[in-house]
Amino acid sequence: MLLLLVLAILPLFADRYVLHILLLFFLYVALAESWNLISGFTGRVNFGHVTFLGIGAYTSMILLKDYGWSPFYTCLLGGVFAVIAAVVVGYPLLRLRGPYFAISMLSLSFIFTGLAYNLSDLTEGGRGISVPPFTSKIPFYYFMLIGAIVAVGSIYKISRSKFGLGLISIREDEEVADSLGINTTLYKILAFAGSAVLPGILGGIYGYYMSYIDPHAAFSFSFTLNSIVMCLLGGSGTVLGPIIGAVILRGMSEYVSFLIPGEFYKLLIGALFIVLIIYLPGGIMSLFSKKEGGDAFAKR
Amino acid sequence: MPLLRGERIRKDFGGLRAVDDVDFHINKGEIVGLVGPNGAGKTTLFNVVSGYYQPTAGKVHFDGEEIQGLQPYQVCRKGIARTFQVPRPLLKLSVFTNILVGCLFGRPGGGGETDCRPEAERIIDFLDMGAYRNTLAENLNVAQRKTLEIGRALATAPRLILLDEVVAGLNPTETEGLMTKIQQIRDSGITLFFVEHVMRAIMSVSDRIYVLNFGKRIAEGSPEQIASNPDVIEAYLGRGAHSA
Repeated sequence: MLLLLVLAILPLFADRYVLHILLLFFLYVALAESWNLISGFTGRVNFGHVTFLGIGAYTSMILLKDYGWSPFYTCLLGGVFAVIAAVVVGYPLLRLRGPYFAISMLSLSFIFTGLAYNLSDLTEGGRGISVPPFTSKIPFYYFMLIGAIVAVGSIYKISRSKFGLGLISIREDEEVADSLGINTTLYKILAFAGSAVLPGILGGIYGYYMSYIDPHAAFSFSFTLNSIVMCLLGGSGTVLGPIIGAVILRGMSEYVSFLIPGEFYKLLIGALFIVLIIYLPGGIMSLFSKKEGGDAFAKR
Repeated sequence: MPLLRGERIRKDFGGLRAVDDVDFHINKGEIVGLVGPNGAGKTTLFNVVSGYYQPTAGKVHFDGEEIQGLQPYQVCRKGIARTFQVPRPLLKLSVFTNILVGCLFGRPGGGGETDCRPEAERIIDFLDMGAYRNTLAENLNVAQRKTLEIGRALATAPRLILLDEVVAGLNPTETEGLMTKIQQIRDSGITLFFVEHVMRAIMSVSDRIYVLNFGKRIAEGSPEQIASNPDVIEAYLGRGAHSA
């Protein structure tokens, strides 16, 4: 609570650089927590998470620039479009499991990159879309903060709900979940649609904040990779894991890029990813949870 | 009217006819056994009844309603629970939560947490699993996992349970204990249809037995009738065995 209060009044004191760093941190927390919903809880490892961010960013920027809509509506509509996309592609693709789902989603993000390049009447192709920058970082800071709080709050609620238990059951054994009365198709689609809401909305906010998007930036694989590594580092399928992962990864990447300018930190993220998969597949949270009674429902 | 009735059920996998026009019925309150050599089509028949497979032809009636073509979760909510031949607990969840899932999702209209928590505790007590209540399912041994399969099935408030080889791989004491539970479950008004390889188990508790061989139903009758049926002996031991 105290931490939230500090974050809420911080813009009164902090300089632009600190706001920028925190704002991106909030974006990543929201992205990682939404990835957590479909991948950590439901078990469908999504390698195309950025697709929803990109769809949100493009929807919002196009409406902002060509139609002059208010950014409030364009960002919300970005979320709506991302959810529609999730339902449409989720229905066929969520039948796939494991690496097949991961690869199909990765391909989907490439398809959307290609569309953004080639539908140049709409997206201005590789030149990208630019809008006049907004003067202050502070509103963006608050919207990203709200996004992160909503993400963490919903995951907390879901992790303790019947819906969340249904998703975990699907992750553990989909056929068994089916045999126990869970409508697995519906649950997977709901989780997938839920995982698209915040990336869609925040994608629009991010685009307006940067005042420029192009296909490579809006559908950059590094958003997906960061979401995945943050979740795995902290512990996927947990509430706090993605936050811990985001703190470490963002801190590390800022610090390392400060010491060694350029893209060197990406190498470190890649290396960390490999080490994690081998030595700590449950993430940092798995060091704390006890062997027995580790699930949220067993407590008396 | 029987509780469950299969009408000329057929299931083909490509050119292989795994279940070949099988008729069967199970009356309310019965324990019915399904036996047959490996590959006879027993589990396939279960998978057709529980909604995992669409039958190539034929109908499944449950309580007067046709249920072939329903999804497994719909079949479950109609009141047919199943256990798996190789136990498949939700590994990262405790025994309690595994059972809770069955109650929350498997009942018609869905259960609420306030009703299901005490229900799950009751089932744990009934199965004498109190000591493992909070144990994650991945840490259970085979006998405990098999018991958990039954607990999860019971939690869905079924009228019929399909048990797929519940005592296979258990030692005689464990088998004895589980068979006692199965009889108690029947006495509580739940009908049971079960596949089993352990003959002693199936002979001791079944009211009737069906025998499948190469997908065809070759015999039906009381345990005594089945034990002396020449077709059954031939299916298991080969031609001429019963005269030797």
